[in-house]
Formats: sequence, structure tokens, C-alpha cells
Amino acid sequence: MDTAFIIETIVKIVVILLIFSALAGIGTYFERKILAFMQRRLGPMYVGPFGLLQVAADGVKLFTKEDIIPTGVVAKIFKIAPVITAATAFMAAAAIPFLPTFTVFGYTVHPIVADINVGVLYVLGVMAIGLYGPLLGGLASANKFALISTARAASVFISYEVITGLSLLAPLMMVGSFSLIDFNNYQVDNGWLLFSQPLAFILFWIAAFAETGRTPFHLVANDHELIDGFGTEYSGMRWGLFFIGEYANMFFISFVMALLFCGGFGDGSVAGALALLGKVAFFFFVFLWVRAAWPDIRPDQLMWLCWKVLMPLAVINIVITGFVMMF
Amino acid sequence: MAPNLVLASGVILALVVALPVVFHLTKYLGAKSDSIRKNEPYESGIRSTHKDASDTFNVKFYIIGIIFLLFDVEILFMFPWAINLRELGFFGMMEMFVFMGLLIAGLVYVYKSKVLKWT
Amino acid sequence: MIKMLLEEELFKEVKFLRDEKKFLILLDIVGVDYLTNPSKNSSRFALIYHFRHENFKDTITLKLNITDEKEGVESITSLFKGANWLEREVYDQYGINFKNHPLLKRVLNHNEFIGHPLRKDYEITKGHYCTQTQDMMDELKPLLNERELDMDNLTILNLGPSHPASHGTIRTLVALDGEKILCGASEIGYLHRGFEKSCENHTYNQIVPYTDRLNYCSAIMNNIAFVKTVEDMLDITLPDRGVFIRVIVSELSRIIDHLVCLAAALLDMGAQTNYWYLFNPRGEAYDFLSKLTGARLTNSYMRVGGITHDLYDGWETDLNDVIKSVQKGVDESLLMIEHNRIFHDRTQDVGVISADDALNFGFSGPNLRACGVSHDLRFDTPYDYYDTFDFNLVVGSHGDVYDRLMVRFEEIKESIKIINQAKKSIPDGPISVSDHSIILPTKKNVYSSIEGVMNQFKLVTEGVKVPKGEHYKGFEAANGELGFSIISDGSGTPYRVKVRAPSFLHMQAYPKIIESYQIGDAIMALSSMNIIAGEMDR
Repeated sequence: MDTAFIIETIVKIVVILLIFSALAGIGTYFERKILAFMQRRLGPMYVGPFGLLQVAADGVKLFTKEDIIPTGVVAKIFKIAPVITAATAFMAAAAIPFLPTFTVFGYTVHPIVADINVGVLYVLGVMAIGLYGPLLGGLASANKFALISTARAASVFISYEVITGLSLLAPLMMVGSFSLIDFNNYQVDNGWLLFSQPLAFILFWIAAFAETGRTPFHLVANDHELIDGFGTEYSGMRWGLFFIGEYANMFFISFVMALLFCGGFGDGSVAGALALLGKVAFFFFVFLWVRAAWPDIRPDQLMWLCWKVLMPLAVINIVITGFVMMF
Repeated sequence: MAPNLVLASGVILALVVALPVVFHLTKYLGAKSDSIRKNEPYESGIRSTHKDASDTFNVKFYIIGIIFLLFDVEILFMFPWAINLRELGFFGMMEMFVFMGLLIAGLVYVYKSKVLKWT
Repeated sequence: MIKMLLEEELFKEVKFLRDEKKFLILLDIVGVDYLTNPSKNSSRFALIYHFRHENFKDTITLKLNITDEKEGVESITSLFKGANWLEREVYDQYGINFKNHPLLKRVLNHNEFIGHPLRKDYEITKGHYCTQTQDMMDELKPLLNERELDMDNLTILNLGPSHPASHGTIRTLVALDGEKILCGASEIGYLHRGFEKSCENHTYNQIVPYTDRLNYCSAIMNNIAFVKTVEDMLDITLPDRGVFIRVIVSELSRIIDHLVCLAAALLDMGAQTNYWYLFNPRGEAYDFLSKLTGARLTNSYMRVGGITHDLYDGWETDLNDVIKSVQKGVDESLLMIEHNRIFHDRTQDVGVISADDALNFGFSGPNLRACGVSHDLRFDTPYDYYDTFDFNLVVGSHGDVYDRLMVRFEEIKESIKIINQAKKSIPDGPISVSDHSIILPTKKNVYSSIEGVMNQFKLVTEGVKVPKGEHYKGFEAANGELGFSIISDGSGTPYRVKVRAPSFLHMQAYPKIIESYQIGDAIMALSSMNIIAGEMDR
């Protein structure tokens, strides 16, 4: 490990952190604007042109808010929980190839921090660890709504996690590698996995909604039932970390879906890179679109859906894929 | 290329763990007020009259939780199998399907004994 | 029909009325304090019971004098579940005891309140602060014991008063097993502001703005319900144009009320877009009302014997625009949920109440119709030419959240039909009665003639003189039967005003409705019943 390598890695990480922290903010702007237009209203209007600086105003607000540690909480865990959410979200980013390799000023840049051969496993694994944020935060808050939210977080997790794993197995069988780069290259040769594995894609997509806690699976922090769930007792920047983690997760899972099922960046040309960003934007947009279109379901209905409908489908998909591959 | 993963994770963790400094900063940035009532945990705007949240909460789905563990471990077994499916061939595939079949039989049993009814 | 009773006859008579005569709905229990009444009643306190017959047309009134308020009368809670809170309210306001009542305690005033505020010797300026939250164990404990549950294994959670989905300040304490609600108890009164006490100190027309604040989602309907009761006592009817204006604005208010309920209920399950599709037309309807009455929310558009002013020029185009956008909003909102599996799963067979229970609890309006009971005062006892309009009575079948919401969707469409017909056939002419002992003379008259000045002076200083008597009138408001019981001593100020607020009776059934459902369902049940704290707490 030479110094250049270390510096390059650190630079990449800082860039990713900065870009995606900013994206989380801009993501909220887009969410508000897109939802507003779907609902025939204007959304943020007053801060800056088209309300663009609303994000900055929100940031200032979060930073200047008092950091309240309520009485009765388990302070250490309470303080560390939002950090877990944010940290795991960004750690997942380390194995995601955001763009194809490109050359700047004669220097070849790999826009992936670590091209490990178990990229898929790593990304999903680290994202799953993010669950500890809501779980610990909710348990440490001396709040009953947070407690219920924690129970919901666990129940939602055990519902979607099996689906995520099972739905990925079939594509893994076909590609024969855990590396996201290999997935990309496989699809360059054989066409998008979306077309050869449509069922797996849909299952994974549904699980992605549950994983990011978006409508119709907005259960853990369902504001109409549980106030803000695990985040009820948090204020200021600590709450902001939960928030950034949530939005970063949405972006990363969009990247993962684009890479795993929709051809990624293709042959690595500029067009391919733009196509990847377009796909990510599309998946992010669908998160918002669905929020505008559908109500939320109940936690027991999610569990019912995952265990009784999606899981058998995923298993059948694996069996069919296996037989098709063999014959 | 594992070292840079470790490095990356380490740096991100370090950056994020450094956040308490930011939290400390917010103390000086904004207004601060203190009162007993304000710092109480929220329960619909009134003082909780019955125990606090450290008390028991009946988690109805713990059996599903256990089943989840089984299946998640199963999927862990299946990941290396899936990668090497082409080398393992038909026989290797059928071996895993038999294993899966056993687990699915278990799941059917779980259905029948109404564990998945969550009320 | 008023029937005088002795105290000890009450229970037997009510049982007879319910079982033999089929008077199945307890409308209201009104307490009266005759301390300062010039009629010199034989005893200080009296109780008036109103019942409605199975055919929904006939009502009967029982009246009894209370010789000793500490001894009181037999409770009828075992016959009518709806009597529970009504009796508690009488106890709260007058201190009249009810024997064998399951739990006789305050309901509208807080637990640290001293005295009984509606007694005539209670100073209107007096007040008491509340410092302690009551733990409600006296209500929850018997329910838990009944089910042989141990409180230590359960989570006891306050849903409300200040909860995003409590729609105002309503507290429901629930015992949870996981997320399932085993039993619960509601505490109301957070918005109690002594409406009825205030009424006893104002002239009839001064009360109209207070009625705005009862059900603030459909303020004009409260105005109308109140002034119609007074007009009945005065034995006057409005000229046709006035009646038609009342029909139009009250149906528009019904639309607004239903829009609010539906929008909030759908928002509570996360259907955000539906909220905006339904709320934007509501805003336009308020623009219309503000142009017409001068205020958006609290219109105070009615006066005893008339209406403040006539419709403005060009009202028809404005109203057409409003109706068009309401129609559009409703259609689009329905399009989004009508065939949505998630919506169906969240609402169907959730928060069910049977027709019998609903009647027993004194339900009315859309909530009762959702149970499959075809009761609508506009059909049963037609007033304001409702029998001449062509519209349908909307009934549900299951009494679940889905039915309650869908009944409201359909009623919006029916109201639009009524408005369209009324708009076509509205006659010209005066909008108010011509009797100047009831309605103010025109400004021109006041400035140019001595009669005008005298009329104005007398009316403003003394108010409308309503003949001595007692009267109850039910009005089909957006939420159900809004009834006013008015007792007049012949002066310009009512001696006693009692509101039969539909939400008060609906709320009483709420803890029972949500039993064995989950938290999310409880939220939906509350919003689908459209509990308006303003009229419930008065």
C-alpha cells in the first residue's frame, strides 16, 4: 500500500461522502417538488430560485437546532444510533461502481472505492446493518412510540430480508460472481438481467421499498401512527443523520438495482455512464411516484405479503432458473 | 483489493464518528433552553401515566423471527452454491433443491400451524 | 309530545319505550336548572329525555323533576349505551346523580374542576386550572379485569391528546398487546369552552357566531340548525328564496365537511395525493363562501328569521366552478383508491360497528348510514323542500371504515345534485321574514324613519323575544343529527341551550370500535368517523 493509493482512496471517499450528503439534500428538494407537481401545488418556492436553496435553509435549521437528550434515555446508545444509520449507508457506497472507469489528465480513475469480489454481498450486508440505527435508537429512547417503531423495524426487516436474498440468488446463479463489475460485464454480453429475470427484479424492487422504508412500506416511522417512530425523541443534527442515511440508502439501492438488473454502465462509454445515471434517476423517481400514488399498508400485511406471496415466488424462480440453466 | 475496502470503511467510520464534534458545535450555534417538562419523553403531549417505555412490549412475531433466522442461514449456504452452479452441474443443483425442499416443507408446516397469522 | 314522569318511573318507562314502542334511539338528555326561571318550577332541577322512533319520524320527550339531585334518578345506561356519557355530562354540568351508573364522573370539565358550571348560581367568570393528568385507571381497569388481563404484561399507550392523527385534542388510552389494541378508554373535553353557559348570557343572534365554532368544518349548517330551532319556537318560516339559499349553502357545507373528513382519513393512511385532490376544491369552496359571507371558516351567515344578506351577482358562475372542481377532485381521488388493493385491505372489515350497536350508541348521519341503516332526516322528516329535490339516500352495508368513507364520497355527489337543482329553481323575492321584531330593518329604513330606528334599537339591545317554551329540533348536519334543545323564558336570551352533537355520541363508541384492531386501524377508525372536537367538547 503506497501513499498515492491511500491518498486516492481517501479522496474518493471524501468525494462520495460530499456528493451523496449533498444528494440527500437535493433528493429531498426533488421529492418535495415532484410530489408537489403530482399533487397540483408548487412545493418550495421562496428560498432561492424555484426554492432551490430550501435545502440549504433546512441544513442551517438542522445545525442550529438544539441537540436535546431527553430524560430517561440510555444516553450513549441514544447518541450513537443515528451515526450507525449514516455510517452504514455510506460504507455500502464503498463497493458500488458509480461510473465506468474514465481518464482525466492522463490519470485513470476507477470510480469505485473498492472493487471487491463480493460486492453484492458487501453492499447488502452493510445496508442491513443500518437497521441497528432505528433499532437501537428506538430502544434507547424512553418513548413508547419509539418502542413500537422498533418492533416494527424488526418485523419489517425479517419480512423483506429473506426476499432480498432469495430474489438475488437466481441472477447470481446466472452470472456466477458477486462482483458488481462482473454483473455489469455479464449484461453487456448477454442482455439485461431485467429481461431474463423479470420476477427476481420485481421482487428485489419491492424489497428495496421495504428496505428504505418508503411508501407503501413506510411503517417504521409512520408519522400518522407513530409520530416519527424511532426518531421521535431526536432533534437537530442527530435526527438529520437518520434523514441523510435514509436518502443515501435510496440512492445506493437505486444504483444497485441499475447495476444488477438494468445493464449498469454498459460498455463504459460516456453514453453508458449517462445511461447509468438516468437509470438511477428513474429508480429514485419511482420511489417518489409510488409515494404519491399509494397509501401505506399495515405491518402485519407486509409480513403476510412477504412470507406468503413473495417468498414462495422467489423460491419458484430459483428452481425454474436452475432447470433452465441445466437444460 | 480488500485493503482499500477496509481502508474505505475505516475512513468513513472515522469521519462519521467525528460527528460528535459537529454535535458539540451545534450547542453554540443555536438557542438552548432547559426545562423539566421539555426534556420529558413525548407521549402525545401529556405526561405518561403508566410506566415508561423501558417496560415490556409484546413482540408478536418472535416465532417468525426464528423462522427468519433459519431461512437467512439457508440463503447464506446458497450464495456460494449459486456462484458455482455451473461447475456443480445438475447433481449439485438437485442436492441444493432437496435441501430447499426440506426447508419449504418446514415452511408449509409453519403455515399450517398458523404461526404466520399475526393477530 | 312531552310526557311528564315521576323520578321512579323513568327506568320502567324508558324500557317500555324501547322494547314495546320501539323508540330505539336516545337523542339527548338535557339537564335544566330552574333556579332563576320565572315560571317557578316545582323543583330546582329537571331532566328532559329525547327519543327517536324506529321509523325515524317520531320523537318523544320525557320530562321529570328532580326532587333531590344528590339522590338523583336511575341510570338508563343499561338500556342505551349512548346514555353513558350523556348522563356523565348532566352530572358534570349540574351535579345530578344517576343511580347504578357504571362510572359517574366528569366528562367535559377536567378532573380538578370544582362545582357544576351550568347551575344558575355558578358565576360565568369563574374558572379552575388543571394541573394533573388523570390516569384513567378507573375506566381501563374494569375493562382489563373483564377480559382477565394483567396490566403488567401490556403496554399502556396514550393515543392523543396531541397526536398527529387525533384530529383535534382527543385522548384515547389504549392497552396494547403487541400492536393489537385489547381495550381502550377515551377522555374528551380538551376543547370544552362552555358553549352552553355562554349561550345563557347572550341574545339569540349573538349565539350564532358561537355555533360556527361547534363543527367548524361546516359552520353554516350549525348556524342553520340553531336559527331553525328558534324560528320553530317563533313559529315563522322563511320566504322561499331564503330557504333555497339555506339549502344551497348547507349542502355546500356538507360537501366541505365530507371533503375534510375524506382528505384527512386518506392522509392518515399515507395517501397524500388524495389529500390534496380533495383539499384544493375545499379551498375554492371557501373562496366562494368568503365572497358570499365575508368569512372563510366561521361564516355566521344566518340570523333568526333570515339571512344576513342576499347572494351576490354572478354567484352562479362561481358556484359552478366550485362544483366542477369538487367533482373533479372527487373523481380523481376515487380513481386512485377505488380499485387499490392496499386501500381495500386497510379499510374493509376494519373498525366495524353493527347497526344495532350504532343505534344503541345514538349514531346518526353518514356513520349510521354506513352500517346499513337508512336514516336521514332530509328523507324522514323533510324540511326546507328537501322532499322536492331528486337525490338518493346513500347507505353502506358493513359499518366499517370503507363504508364510512364511501358513503361520504357518494353523499358529496348527492349534495351536488341538490345544489344543481336548487340553483335552477331558486325564486326571487325577500330572503328574510318581514317582521321587524325579529329581523333588523334595512339601513335605509333606520336612517330615514323613526320606526326603523326603534326596531333597530329594540332588537340590538334586547334581542329577539322568543315565546316561553321548550323545543327540540334535529337537523341533518354533515356529521349526523345536530339537535338544539332550547328553553326560553320569554326574554331575548335563551334560558338553556343544549346541543346534541353527533360527534359526542360517535366518540363514545370509539374505544369499543377499535378493540382487537391494530394501532393503524384505530387511527383509520377515528378519522373515518369524522370526530370534530369543536362540537364534541362544546
